[in-house]
Amino acid sequence: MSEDAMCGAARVRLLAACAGLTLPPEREARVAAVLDAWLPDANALNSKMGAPGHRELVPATILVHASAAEHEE
Amino acid sequence: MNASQRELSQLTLADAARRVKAGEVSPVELVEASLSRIEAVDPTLSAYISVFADEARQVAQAAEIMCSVGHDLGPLHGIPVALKDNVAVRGTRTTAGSKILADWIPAHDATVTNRLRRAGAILIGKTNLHEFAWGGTSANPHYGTVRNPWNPERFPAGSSGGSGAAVAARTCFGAIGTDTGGSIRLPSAVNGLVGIRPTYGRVSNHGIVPLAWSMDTAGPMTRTVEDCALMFGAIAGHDPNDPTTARHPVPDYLLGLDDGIEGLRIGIVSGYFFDHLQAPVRDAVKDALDTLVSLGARLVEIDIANIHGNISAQLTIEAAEPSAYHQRWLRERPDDYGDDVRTLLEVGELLLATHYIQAQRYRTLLRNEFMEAFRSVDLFVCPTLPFTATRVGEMKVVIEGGVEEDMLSAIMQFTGVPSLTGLPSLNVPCGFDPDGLPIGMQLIGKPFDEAALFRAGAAYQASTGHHLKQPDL
Repeated sequence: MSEDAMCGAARVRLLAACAGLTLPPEREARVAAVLDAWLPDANALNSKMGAPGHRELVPATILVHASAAEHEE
Repeated sequence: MNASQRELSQLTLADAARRVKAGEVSPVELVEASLSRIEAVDPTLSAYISVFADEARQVAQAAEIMCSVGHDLGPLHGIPVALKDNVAVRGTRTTAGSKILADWIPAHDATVTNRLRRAGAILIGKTNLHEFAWGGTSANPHYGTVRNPWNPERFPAGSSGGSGAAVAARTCFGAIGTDTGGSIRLPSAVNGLVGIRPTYGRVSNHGIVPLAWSMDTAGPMTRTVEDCALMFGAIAGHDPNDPTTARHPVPDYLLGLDDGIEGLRIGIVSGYFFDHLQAPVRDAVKDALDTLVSLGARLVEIDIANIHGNISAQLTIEAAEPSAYHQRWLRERPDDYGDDVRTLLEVGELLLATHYIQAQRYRTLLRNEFMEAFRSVDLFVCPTLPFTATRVGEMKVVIEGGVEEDMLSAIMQFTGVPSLTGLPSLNVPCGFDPDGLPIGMQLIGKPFDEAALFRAGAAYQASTGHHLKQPDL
């Protein structure tokens, strides 16, 4: 196993332990392959969204209240 | 299957419905034609998990009697339709394509199921899908790999691949699919069908096994735009059982369907919509745009500054939410999942909360940019996916330059945008590649303006014949 792959599997093992998820060693490598492919772009998106110009943006999943007119229905 | 049954199975849903109302065709004949077709082709396609032969025949007989005394249940009276098997049908198994729910018998219909029944539709069966709808190939380890009727060595896409194959193969007159990241639009595109992902909140998800709550939708997959509009009208609308549904009036989607598109402003996102495509896809969609322009539309180039990054956000949300839903099963029954779905669920557990929240903030950013763009355009057009149907079993795809790419990321290149923004989007068949495989274009509209998408799609279909071709199966 390459050094990078070992790091990926070790990272997955730690994260899985934090999540209370038991992963057999062979699954650590599979998960690491996908996670390592996704994380650079996900972290780049984190960085983009942390830009000052985006500070006012709220997540799309916030609670939205009905209008007063709808409350009166 | 006899010649008469073959002829009946080739009717569009709308034509069949008209002929039932006119007393020219019996629902019994339509059901027998569908069942005969299923028997003939499904051993090859694996499009169905359950077929309701006895029940469908009984309902068809009742529908026929109602017709004979002038009673009409609604716009789908006597029409055989199928439902993706993550949509609950009371009293019959609803598996979600999984081993885990193999024996789940819902006590109640999903709202979509109920509304189809009340419109007079006859449920012919439950279609196969990618396990738990979490994937884009419909290669199901528990119920068989669904195959594309245009070439059974090719995939039908997914996750509503069974619904796509079932409609394309003329085993039913329409089918319900579900769409989180593209699961109606993608199989519609590669099976040569019309399929709509509605505005988020337009159609109830009550009684549908969830994938990602903040992006899940349900909608019809049909052979024509008219069929899609007809079926959509039967299921759209607020549902007190689903708090995500909107109290937004449901228009008559058939009204004005043939009004044409004179003056329609079509947005093309520069630097994204026509970058990174297989050549036949690019050519077909550009030809389609030329057709739309010849019908009176005009193209407007639009810059969506932050469109790049949408795939990462889509993957993060679409991984994290299902992983939350499946947490218990993943710990108690991990070996009952197919390997690919299990891997994605495990990955989703390990993304950080900040990844998820930033992805949800990105959705707000992207939606804001599209809503601003809608001040200048009426809808957008792009390819539905950048490639045509790959061979069954392939998890990599070559789009350009001989470079292999991961299937999941590549397939959502364009479908992720409406999923993230909550906008409605319609796949319309727009051509074929040199191997005869269908190509689809995606129309993206304003919130709750599915009517404009249907009108544009109908205008296109009135001038072209791609939707009239059918697989030689």
